[in-house]
Amino acid sequence: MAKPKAPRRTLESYSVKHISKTIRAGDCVLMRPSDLSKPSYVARIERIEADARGSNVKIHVRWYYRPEESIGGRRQFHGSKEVFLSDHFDVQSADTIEAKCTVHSFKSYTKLDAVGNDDFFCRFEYNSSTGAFNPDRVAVYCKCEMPYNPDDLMVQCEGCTDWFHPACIDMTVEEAKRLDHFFCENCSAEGQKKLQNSHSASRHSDTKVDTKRRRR
Amino acid sequence: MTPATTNSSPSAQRHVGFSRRTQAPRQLDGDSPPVKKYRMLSEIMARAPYAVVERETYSDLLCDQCGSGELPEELLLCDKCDKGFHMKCVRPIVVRIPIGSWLCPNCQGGKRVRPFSQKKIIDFFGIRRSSDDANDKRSSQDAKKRKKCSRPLVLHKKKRRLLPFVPTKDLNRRLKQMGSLASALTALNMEFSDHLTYLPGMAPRCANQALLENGGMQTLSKEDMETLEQCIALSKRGEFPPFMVVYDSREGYTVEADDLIKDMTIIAEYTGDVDYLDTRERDDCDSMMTLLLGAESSQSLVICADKRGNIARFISGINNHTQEGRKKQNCKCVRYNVNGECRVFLVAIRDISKGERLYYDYNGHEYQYPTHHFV
Repeated sequence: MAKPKAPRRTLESYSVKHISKTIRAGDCVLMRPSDLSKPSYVARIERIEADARGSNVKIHVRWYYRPEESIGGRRQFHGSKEVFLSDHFDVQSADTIEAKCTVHSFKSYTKLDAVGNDDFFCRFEYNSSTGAFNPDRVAVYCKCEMPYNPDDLMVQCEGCTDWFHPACIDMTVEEAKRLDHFFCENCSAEGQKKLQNSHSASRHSDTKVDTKRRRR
Repeated sequence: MTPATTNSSPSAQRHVGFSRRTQAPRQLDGDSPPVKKYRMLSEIMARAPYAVVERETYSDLLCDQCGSGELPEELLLCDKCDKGFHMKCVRPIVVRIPIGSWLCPNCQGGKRVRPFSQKKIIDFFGIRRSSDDANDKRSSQDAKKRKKCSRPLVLHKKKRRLLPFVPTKDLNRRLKQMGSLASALTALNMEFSDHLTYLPGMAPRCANQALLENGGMQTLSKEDMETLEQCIALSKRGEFPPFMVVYDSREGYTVEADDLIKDMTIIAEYTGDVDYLDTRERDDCDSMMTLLLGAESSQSLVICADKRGNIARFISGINNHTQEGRKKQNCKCVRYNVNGECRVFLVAIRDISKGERLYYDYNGHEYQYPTHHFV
């Protein structure tokens, strides 16, 4: 008489031997990419499954997408550590786990004192088939009206309290850091003559031309 | 209670490095609530520049097409997939180093335009059909013919006159010609415009004065003016010159004659937005035409056919660096003083047979346009 196939059971936690770490549902991990020249995949563990004897461990994951993996591609407002929580679910062998990592909310990420290799942040959910994001409406800053990139330094106008990229107000990052006071064009035009004079002195006369990247 | 196990094995310890600290925006003393602006993300994505995570080194980068790393200064990096492409290996050929962002053909994802129906073509070009108007023009045309015949032969030989284009008689064929132009303009997100446009924020119409041309500009003769007006009237009736806009993998959009074009025929006026050359000096628009070269550079004007234009912007340039390329030239670009304003026209310089592609010298006036990768 043939034995019926033993049912697989869900594990509360699992010790990944090759990284000496314990994983649980809800943890985020880095997974080995199929193409080793690519960066590791970021995933959230939904469930851990094993056979009756506790071997042949599979993990059910939900993928985070990097901006360059999305249909719209990586844009300048995306942070270097930004990922999107996708609707793409998968089953992977536990052997492909490379490390544990942390995916912060956008707010808590901007409060970090230091960003480690294992730190990421997520501010959008991503629909992998349509390329749509949630939320579909976000706050924008500066005259270029782009969302905030946490890797960029920005300067706040004392008048309207909007934030500005140094490049968009014809300044270098060093100049922006040295500012004691800043009023944007609109606020300067509204009768702030005194501050405008001191501000215009620090304004750079030659605009930087954005040249095409080429191999040199 | 069991004490926590400490794993002291050095091989188990993962080396954790730190990337640079995130720089939060500078906080002002006393938190003032910021006024937030919101935008739809689809709107933002339509405008946001592309970025790539830069590699540590690009010295081993190869062209994705030919697999060679030679001529690194001509190896463009796509701002989406970060692959390398030689300017001459890309299809279509990239003639000049782009300014700012550049996407390779795969990442651009060419916009597929569905064939235009007759109504859509007519709407696209803003043609108004008026049979009375047609009759008037036809009779006026006959009158001109009579006048021409009575002219003394000696006068006729003195100066070569511009000829009006002759539209294709077959209406279906003409619709195909117009449809090809409409498709090409739509693929480039352009509007059709058969005249120079003067937009707020660009050069005003009063800036276009032929008097300002350094060294003077030739005036369009009275007879040629009549010919030009005849061409304009034909176009307004939807009787366009007999050209097909075709897509070539190396040249991109280009223009083919769909009927015999006689020597000295007016092919098209070069149209688009008029702007100051100074304003456009760092622009990446790939269809700019000199309109006015003033004694002061601040007076110089260019026609920018990146948002509005007509068939003139699709005509290919010759390769000035090869004899074979120079031989291809079959039309020329001429600037005229028309009623005190500068205008640019493309005119055939020899008979052009059906199926032949149109080429003119992009460097006819100045020698600035890089054509060494042209076919």
